[in-house]
Amino acid sequence: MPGIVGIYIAFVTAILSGMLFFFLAVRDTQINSKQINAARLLYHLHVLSLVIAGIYLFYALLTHKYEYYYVYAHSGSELPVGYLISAFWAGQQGTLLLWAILSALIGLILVEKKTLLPPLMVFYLVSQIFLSLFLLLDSPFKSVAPVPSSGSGLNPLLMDPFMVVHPPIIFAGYALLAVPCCYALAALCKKEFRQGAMEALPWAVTGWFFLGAGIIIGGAWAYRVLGWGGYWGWDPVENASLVPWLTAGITVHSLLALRAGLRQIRSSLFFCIITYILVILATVITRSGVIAEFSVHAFTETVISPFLTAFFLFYLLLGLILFARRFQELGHISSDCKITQRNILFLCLTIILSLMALLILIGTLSPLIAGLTGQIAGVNENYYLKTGYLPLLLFFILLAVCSQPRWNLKRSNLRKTLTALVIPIIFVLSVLYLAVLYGLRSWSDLLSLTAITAAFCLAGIDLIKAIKYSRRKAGGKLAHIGLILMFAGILFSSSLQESKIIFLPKDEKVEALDFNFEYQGYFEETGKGGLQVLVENRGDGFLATLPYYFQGERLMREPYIKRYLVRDLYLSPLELQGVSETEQLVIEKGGYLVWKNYRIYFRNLALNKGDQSALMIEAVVDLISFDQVTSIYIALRQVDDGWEPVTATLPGGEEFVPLLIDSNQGVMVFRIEENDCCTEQEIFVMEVKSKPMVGLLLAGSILLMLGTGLAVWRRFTSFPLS
Amino acid sequence: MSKKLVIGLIMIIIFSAYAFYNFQSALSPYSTFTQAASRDGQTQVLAFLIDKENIAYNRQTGSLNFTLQDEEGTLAFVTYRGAKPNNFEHAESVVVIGSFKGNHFEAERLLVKCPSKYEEQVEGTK
Repeated sequence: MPGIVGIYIAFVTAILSGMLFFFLAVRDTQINSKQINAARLLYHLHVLSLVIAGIYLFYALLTHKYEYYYVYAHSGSELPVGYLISAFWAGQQGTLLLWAILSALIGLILVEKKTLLPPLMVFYLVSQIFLSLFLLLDSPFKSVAPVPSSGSGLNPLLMDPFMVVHPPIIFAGYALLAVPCCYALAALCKKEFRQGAMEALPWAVTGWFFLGAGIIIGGAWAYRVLGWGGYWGWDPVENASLVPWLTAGITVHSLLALRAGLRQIRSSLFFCIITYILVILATVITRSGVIAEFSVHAFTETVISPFLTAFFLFYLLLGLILFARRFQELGHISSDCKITQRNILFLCLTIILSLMALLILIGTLSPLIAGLTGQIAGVNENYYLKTGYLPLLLFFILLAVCSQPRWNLKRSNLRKTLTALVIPIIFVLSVLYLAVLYGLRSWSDLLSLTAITAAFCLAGIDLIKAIKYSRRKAGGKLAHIGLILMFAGILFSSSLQESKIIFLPKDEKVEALDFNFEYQGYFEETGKGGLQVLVENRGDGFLATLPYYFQGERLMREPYIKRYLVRDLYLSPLELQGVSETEQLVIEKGGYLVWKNYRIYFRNLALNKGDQSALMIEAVVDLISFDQVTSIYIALRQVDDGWEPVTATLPGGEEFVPLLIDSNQGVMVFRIEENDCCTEQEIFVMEVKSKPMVGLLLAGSILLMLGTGLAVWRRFTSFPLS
Repeated sequence: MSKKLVIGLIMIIIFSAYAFYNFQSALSPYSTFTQAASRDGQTQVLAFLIDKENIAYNRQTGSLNFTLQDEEGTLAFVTYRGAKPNNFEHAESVVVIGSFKGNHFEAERLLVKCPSKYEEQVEGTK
């Protein structure tokens, strides 16, 4: 009860508070403190009721109240407390509640502000009204009858510390990015452009930081747990959060440029607004089922889909109309400023990042775009790699160029400018030489490596200068270095990756990629069981346990990662084969195959009505062994629930078992079972990957977040409105 | 102003051409196995796993072999050189992206669709 009542009260108070603020904003007279306080009080009630609903959901999860469908579907009695808490955001309704609570809490700070207060809160509360509406329509407090005795448990792949923190961080980012949008909209309404933009800056930086951290944590989780050896799959869900991260990057840089006195007012306000619209679009993409067919995250359409679209359209139309109406006026402000080198650099950044965002968005929505022309199609990941290359290359060139505060290209100073470039050029050339020596051959990789190393060197010199002379600016420079290292890691780990699928018979050594592997058997640890493999590399050895266990009926497999200084050894368990269960063989009509002492010819096949009018697919196979030819007849007979094999015995006593006979294509799949399988042996199939320089990617991500984090800290501690 | 406009327009045209070209070349249509067999180049087929007991890696070729049936009922033997996505055996349906090589469909990419509604899921890439 408290949960659903809380959501109802939150919805009503959001509407009332929003209406009151709207009334105050429209009247535009002296702010009557009594009315403001009433609106504030209503807002506080809104926050309180959402928080109560949230606490109640935690309580229901912790005390296993399975009468609620959400608790039943996402938790289980044997789950440890940490994962019970994270079950809060394991499902759609819970994540929406989390989003609503986080943004309500952020609003507590906004509601006490003086600048632009009434319109700001109107725009902010529209978002709260929509979020509470979603919770009303599709509540996490729906009950089930009869009450199940136990929960269905949490997907074990989600039982990872990274997955515990990933959703709250992403949603904190989403919630924070609503603030710059509302400030920009309010500023456009009240024509207090600069002030609104400056108020938006700390929120934009913080939101950008959280969204970036969330994306990186998500990628790290995929790498650690999923076992396909990658961190980014260009899935619509992943892309949907990357696009607003890119535009938030533009927002932050535009606002910083504006603060430094450059003419960035139009782009600042525009990207403040568009970023939140893209955040909502991300939610539409992932929750409304528009591209469900094309994502590995199979989201289905729910009752909230039309309202989600309304949520998106509201901010989109409002933003566009307001921006269009003030467009000329914004231009007048800009024309007071001079155009400098910095200005052009910021313009380039805006163009390049918007290009990237747009290309990713086009790719993500490709099923819809192709649908317009009547095709059922979607782009594959090659689209992103191919289209992304050019903007990314330009981006690194820009990163290299922007490391200098000003490029003096006058003839009198040219000599000095060039001498400053001697060290970077030597550095780039030596890295290129090493890369070619190491095996990097493709021109596109070498070109991007050149851009990245040049950017690294120049940005590095810049960072050192910043630490020496103006430590306050070091955050941004550190983030740049981090970003460069990240991409260097991505470039190396993907282009120099080696992988091999190996078959490990038990207790036998197998060599692959400079390592020796020996499968030693199943090993039960607490909770998850695993397969133990002895890994040796030049005398050094260690035991790796690869998680391989059943969750209910599902077989779960997780990788084992050994991190070395220069590379990661990534072991991914694939399957466990028993040799007695012999492998499948495929043969074409008219073709032959050698199996042990037999040469097997697939002579003919026929489709027959057999006895009791059951359909039979018959095949004739000739066997040659010890210079003797034998013909055997095998068949598949249709029975109620499929096909039943009619086997034949070979001269040596083995059973020939047909598994599939395709009469259209003339192909047969079969198995030969030996009768004397006394030597039953396990074979463990494993993928071995060597991924160089993943450490660089890791270090880069940490530096990027550290740098952005420093910038966030600076925005909130020293806040001079210049 | 007009000079700015011209530069802007040229950039937009170049960008659109760039995006359109890449979009077209990377667009792989959804089709059935019958269509995929008659077509050169990459296609993606949404199909259902059948004969689940016989999904196995072949020791000689090192590839994963399995059988799929598409919505029209056509069977195809599929090979995939790469790691089997987590939960593969319990997938409702899978999407294979690749082309026919002789009598079998060679998948370059394998996507798994899971029955559960809101779960981070698994993907296999080469």
